[in-house]
Amino acid sequence: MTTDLLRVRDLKVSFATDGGTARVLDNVNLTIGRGQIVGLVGESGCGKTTLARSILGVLPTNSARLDSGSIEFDGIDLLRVDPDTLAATVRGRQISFIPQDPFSSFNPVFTIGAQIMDLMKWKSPALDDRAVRRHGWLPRLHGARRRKADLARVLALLRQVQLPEPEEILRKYPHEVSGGQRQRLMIAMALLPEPKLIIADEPTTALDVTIQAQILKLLRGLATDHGISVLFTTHDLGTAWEICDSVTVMYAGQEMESAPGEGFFRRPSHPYTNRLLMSLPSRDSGISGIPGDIPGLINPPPGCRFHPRCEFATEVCRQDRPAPTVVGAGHEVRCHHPVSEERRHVLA
Amino acid sequence: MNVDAPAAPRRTQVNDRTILDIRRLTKHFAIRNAFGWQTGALRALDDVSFTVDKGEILGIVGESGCGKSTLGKTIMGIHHPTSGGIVFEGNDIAGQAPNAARTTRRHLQYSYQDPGASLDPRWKIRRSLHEPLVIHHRELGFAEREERVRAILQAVGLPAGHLDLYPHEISGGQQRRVGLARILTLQPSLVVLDEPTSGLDVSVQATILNLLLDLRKQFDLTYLFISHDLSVVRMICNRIAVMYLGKVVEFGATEAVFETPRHPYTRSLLSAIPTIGGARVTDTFLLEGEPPNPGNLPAGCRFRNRCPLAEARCAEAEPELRADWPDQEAACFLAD
Repeated sequence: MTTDLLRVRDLKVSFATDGGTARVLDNVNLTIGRGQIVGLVGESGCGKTTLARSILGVLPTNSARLDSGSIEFDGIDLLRVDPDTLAATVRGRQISFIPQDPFSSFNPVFTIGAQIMDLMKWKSPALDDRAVRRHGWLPRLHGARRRKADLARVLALLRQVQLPEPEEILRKYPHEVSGGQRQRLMIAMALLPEPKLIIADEPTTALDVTIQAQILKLLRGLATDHGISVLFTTHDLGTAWEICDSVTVMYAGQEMESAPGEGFFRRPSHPYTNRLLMSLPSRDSGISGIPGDIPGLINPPPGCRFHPRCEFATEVCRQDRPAPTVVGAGHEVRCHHPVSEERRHVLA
Repeated sequence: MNVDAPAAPRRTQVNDRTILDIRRLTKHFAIRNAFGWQTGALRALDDVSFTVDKGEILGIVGESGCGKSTLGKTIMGIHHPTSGGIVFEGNDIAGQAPNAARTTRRHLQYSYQDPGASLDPRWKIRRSLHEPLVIHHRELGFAEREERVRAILQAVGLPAGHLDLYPHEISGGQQRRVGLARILTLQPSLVVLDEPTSGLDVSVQATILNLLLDLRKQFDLTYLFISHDLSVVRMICNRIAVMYLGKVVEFGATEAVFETPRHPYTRSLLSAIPTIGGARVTDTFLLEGEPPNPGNLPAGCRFRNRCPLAEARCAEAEPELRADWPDQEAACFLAD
């Protein structure tokens, strides 16, 4: 019996494109413990959004192919479950989603209240799942009474995400509220079905730093209070440091390193991770980028995909993708030549 | 010097190193109702004054909607200022006639947020790079232009072979380099960089920042660096101006502002940046609420609704910048 909420093992996903098959995820592993906030960090095009979407089961069906691997969520393998059951019981129920851009996720012609109440109608945790399955829709047995109860719950949720004047906001249209408030509404909507896991795809990228700090604080508090696990994808190492209990770094469709937050930032072991941390602007040491470009995913380099840009690369890196090596408590790195304390100075 | 606008009181004084002198610059946008009647004004820039020295990098920081891009565009002449003066290399260029403005723009260049997106997708890189020279230096022949273009392309670290490619054939980072090269072909003295690193991954951002620093040395440039990323600003700027809702609330040497922020807004802004290895912002951050609507500002100090220190007098009058500290000015009654 495992205590982990989510275990992704050797997941392989490819996309059919005009130029050939893009191998976007290459045997990726990811573990999320119960009540943990896990940061999925990587540069654009590294496959973090594809991984998040695979877990949610919303990959485009006409081009994406799940080649192999498993996604085990709370004891069930999501890839082996019938899609209708998944839609009725897991997606949007036990796993919910916070998008990057809160504006394009609202319908501009309906009030916010109408949209949240609609969600309440379908995804309210008070509803019996069997009823949904039998009828295909929800029997609204007690019209007015249920609406009143639903409204009370929505208002409680809005207060939970610290929105001022919630009754007022429900009457507004999406363009009438600010970006920070829209993101709070999105968080409220993600919390509505009382999920076990929230997938947050760069939820603070579009926000200013002071608003970002408020939203991070809110997410941290909610995850702790409700014991919800969060998969937090970001390209910003600073926000990952802020709220993540553990961090997984991806590069070009492969996960490179995963470690508890403190261990990751104090003792990064993969050469890529080290380089990434050194790219951050700092006054003391200046900045150094990573030479070279991110490889294309249609013909990715064999073996470890970072080897063409890595100063430690040897013949074995060109041939084999390294297996995970344990270098500390909960700290795994997939590298043939992990950076140890003695060798860290070589990078500087 | 022929300037009508009065010099701002108690401001860093103009000296022989000054390349740009902004004097009480104001830009209001009209708010109109459905009948086209003006019902109010959005005060995007309100009484902004500062000077830029030759060779320095001046950072303009603030959150979205604080007017930092409007400031850059007004300096460039893209927006006409409502009032105030812009003195560039000794000439007032605020509200210049289009003909005269063309000469000015040779020396004053603006780099858009994504310079790559300003390349014509149907033109090869060569044609895009030749274009500014064709417009501004009609005396040059093709061979002379080509020589200049190649030199600049080398300076931004791109091979000459790229001249025959189309924009979609090169990466985003390379497009930014081409965008910069395009600006530099005219040998400007001041470049307004509007969010030059937003949307870039950190590893690419690092190489672009290093390139900007190299180019400044090589071409003797002055930068007005508009950004919302405070860690980048701290690393490369000599002085910074912090803006909040169209006003400069704090101005000074970068180190002074970051080490001892005087204005409560600057303090909140700095405390919101995540520092890896430092205290968690989620434990320490205090600022509540969001900026008010710039079309309907509170009376007195604009920050008072969110300010932890606000008193009765903050609602009565608007604080001016006070130069009470060495290398630093702040617009707050209560700053000490």
